[in-house]
Amino acid sequence: MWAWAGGLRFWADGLLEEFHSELRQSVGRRLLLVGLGVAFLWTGFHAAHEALWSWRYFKVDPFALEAPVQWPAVGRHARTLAQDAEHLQPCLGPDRRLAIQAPDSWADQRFYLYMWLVYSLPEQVVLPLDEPDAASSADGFLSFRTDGSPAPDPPSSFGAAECDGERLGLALKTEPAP
Amino acid sequence: MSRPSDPLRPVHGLSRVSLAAVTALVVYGLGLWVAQSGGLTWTRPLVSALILPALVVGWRMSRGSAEDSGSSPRRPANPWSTLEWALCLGAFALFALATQLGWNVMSDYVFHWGMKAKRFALTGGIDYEFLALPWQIHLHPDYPNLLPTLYAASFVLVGSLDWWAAAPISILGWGLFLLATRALAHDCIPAPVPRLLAVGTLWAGSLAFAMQPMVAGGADLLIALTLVFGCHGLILPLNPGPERPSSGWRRDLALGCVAAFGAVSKLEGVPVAATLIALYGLRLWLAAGPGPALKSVLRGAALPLLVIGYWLVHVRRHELFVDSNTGGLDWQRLPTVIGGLVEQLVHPVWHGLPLVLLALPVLAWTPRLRLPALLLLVQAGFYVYVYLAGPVDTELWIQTSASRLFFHLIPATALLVIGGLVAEPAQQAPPQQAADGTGTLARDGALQTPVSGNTSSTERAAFESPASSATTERACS
Repeated sequence: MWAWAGGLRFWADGLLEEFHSELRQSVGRRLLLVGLGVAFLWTGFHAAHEALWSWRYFKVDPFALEAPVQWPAVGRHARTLAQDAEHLQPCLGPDRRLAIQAPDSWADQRFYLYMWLVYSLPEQVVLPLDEPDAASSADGFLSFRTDGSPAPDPPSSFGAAECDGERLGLALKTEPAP
Repeated sequence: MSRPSDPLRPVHGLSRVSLAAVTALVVYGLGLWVAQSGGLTWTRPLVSALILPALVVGWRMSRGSAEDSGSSPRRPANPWSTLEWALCLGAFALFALATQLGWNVMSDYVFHWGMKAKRFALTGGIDYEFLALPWQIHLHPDYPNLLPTLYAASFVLVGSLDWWAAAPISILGWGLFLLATRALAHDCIPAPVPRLLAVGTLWAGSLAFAMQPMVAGGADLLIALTLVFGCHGLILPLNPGPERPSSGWRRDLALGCVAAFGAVSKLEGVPVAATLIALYGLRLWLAAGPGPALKSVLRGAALPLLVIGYWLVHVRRHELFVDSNTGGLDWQRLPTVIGGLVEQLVHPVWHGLPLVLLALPVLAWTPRLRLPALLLLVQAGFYVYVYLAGPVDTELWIQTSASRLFFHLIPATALLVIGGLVAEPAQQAPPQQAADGTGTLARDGALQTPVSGNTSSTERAAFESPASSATTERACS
């Protein structure tokens, strides 16, 4: 234990020696050191604050819809969409073409929800409905609305589908896609 | 105790661990792409089998870092370095925890990198047909594919498409970033107390930024790492001194690996790679004339040209360039761009650290920091050009991207600025040491050819004064 204490004291002496040698430098250098110290405390405080904030809030969707670019991957909307997509997977199978009404603007918050859905369905090719032949070449049609407006009706060639007894806005083509 | 300005204390050099890892990542990605071109699918045996060769190649190719010289004396331990390591470990642990648990995953992982990676993992290679679908422009199909390739390899390796399988790639990048910035700080800021405060400020500021969903899962960390390496490589003496014999081709190769890493990480890394190689060539030209400079540039540019060529061929073949990336300069956007960038300089996500970028022109005025400052200025200019040329909503674009682009520039700039501020007066080397340095300069592989051209030996000596007495002086001091 005494060896540890001696080592610690040697270490602390080294720290102080360097520090005192800095204090013997010019006034400008000392002012710079104070500035760096303040900057370190400032950024250190913010690092600690961000870390604690993440610890406290990461489970409760901290970001509002109006700031979609800041959604963390664990956000509430993201989780909901991921769960919906998980339900859809067994009905769709791999490599199906799924038409979705896509938002038309990058600034539109629905764009990010749309992207979440695409991200959550990696085995499917997702077609935005504003593509001319999307409805005709798709195997499935997913109603997708987040703004409260009515979801679009699927084209007549699609029939409502259920996944695990749940209706998730999915319509599957009654005939196989060409 | 050794004072930091000890004239015999050698330069620190690039962090070899970090450089080796970066090189290994490039080689690993290249190996997977070559395998795909050869008709192989990315299966678990394949992605596993490539790991060890990539590590070996990375370790051997990174011998150009100045840390790697068996005869160099080890520096005595400094108690302030212990605190530095403690800070480093703390910053690493906090980021690793938050990232592995998914607290700070950025949206671009979901909308871009992760989506690509999932698809690549499912198809067992880069799915160019998927990228070429006309509505996939949000995926940036024309971007280089190193990051999604690494994510996809990780997915295949562990058999999951979840974030936890991709998180170690981001955590690795953060660790390499910490090591690289520490190495740069050691060569820029000789005194341990200001150095600790400098790296502490940089790491804490970067951590505060990275704890928000801005860094984890994206490629911006890789560009920041490239710029730190690039600036460090440009301030290192061309000749590390007689006790650190380093042949020129190794140094060329090391910078080439850095440039290649930047070029395959993100589109913004391509100009970094080009500028880095050009400035390196310019430095060698001024020091040793056009012949050796050309040879070194060709050696350094080989790997970047290879990976950029591979990327360009596929992008053109599948017509992946998107219109939103290109456009003519529109000077009417200038007020919006300036206003937006000024707003982002003081945006709360960064807590004021971007203000250090305003010192870049002053850095370029400082002779010994001119080359790295030019590298950073060219990159900053490229971002302004892109904002002026991109045919999209400029204001929204700046709001959603500028703070991440600042992250590319801030680490290297902050350390160089502080290094310039705390610089100590250069110490004169004893004549014998200077002579030794010059002698080794002649032994240096890249500089053996007799100097020709207009550069006089006096000018060369003036340009290389920190190098010819390199063992005597810090690169930035």
